[in-house]
Amino acid sequence: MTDEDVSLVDDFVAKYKVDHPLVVLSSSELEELIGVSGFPTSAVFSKGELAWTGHPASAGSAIDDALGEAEKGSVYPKKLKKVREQMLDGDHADALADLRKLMEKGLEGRDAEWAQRIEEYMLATCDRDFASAKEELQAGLVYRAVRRVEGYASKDSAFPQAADIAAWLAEREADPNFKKEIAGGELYEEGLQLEKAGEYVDAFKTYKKAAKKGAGARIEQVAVDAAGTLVTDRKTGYKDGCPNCDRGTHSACAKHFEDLEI
Amino acid sequence: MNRFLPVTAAALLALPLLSGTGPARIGGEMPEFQAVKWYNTPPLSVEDLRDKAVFVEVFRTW
Repeated sequence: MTDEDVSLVDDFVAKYKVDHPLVVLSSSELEELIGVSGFPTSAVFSKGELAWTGHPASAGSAIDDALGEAEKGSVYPKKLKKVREQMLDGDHADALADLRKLMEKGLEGRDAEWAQRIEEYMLATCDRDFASAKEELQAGLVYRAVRRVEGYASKDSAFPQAADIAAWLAEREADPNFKKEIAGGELYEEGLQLEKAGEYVDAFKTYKKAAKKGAGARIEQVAVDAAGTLVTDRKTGYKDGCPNCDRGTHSACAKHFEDLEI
Repeated sequence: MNRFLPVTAAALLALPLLSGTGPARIGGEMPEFQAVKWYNTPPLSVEDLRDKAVFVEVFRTW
């Protein structure tokens, strides 16, 4: 295991706003059971046993069968549903405050066990997110960095790191280009979502707008580079279904390629 | 639809081993997750997931 590998996944999760449970594994035991021969490969487990493997797009009936055999209810206790939603929405301080209120009122059994697990996870995640935000700042992603940690620093936050994060945020806000970083950064993140969806021309245009909004700020160069990469990789103009466009790399054929300029 | 819990296993660390991966062992028991890091959830165990329908997607970031 190296830190570099985990940082790739950190970036992936932030970039594509992944909000479902995700794990980075250190052993190949699971992949060996599933029989991974390419990516993506998916699997369905029912009653703790491997029931199906294949391409994610073909998993429908296997999922239905497994659901038919599954116990009703979420993995997470119903009483903690709101806390978990707050956590995933980035309302960390509220999530921790509400969780502790529930714990003070008295939780029992599975509810109490999960409350403790979620509390430990939130406290650990705060440290990790603050470290990631500092790295994102280094990479010129001010908007993403600020959004990542601002939910920990609200007034009355119970996170031990809240004061440090608030001070760090105040430093960012003192930057004369802060508003440009935020406005450009928000558009840049929209561009990433469009790129993920395969809307490459729209992604290019959105990156271009991000660069304009962030002119003079660090996000300008980040957005220009992202737009330029789409053109260099010949993704602008790619048409799904065109026999001459490359489905593997999503590079456009000579007919469809749009050589856009920023 | 609360019985369905997607878990994505980013097998970034297992690349050298994958060339030796054989066919799927249908009916095999889910192994405990040897995790480097969990996202969006406290660490999950096989016990947590035993009675649920679990969808796992193995992917790489590239």
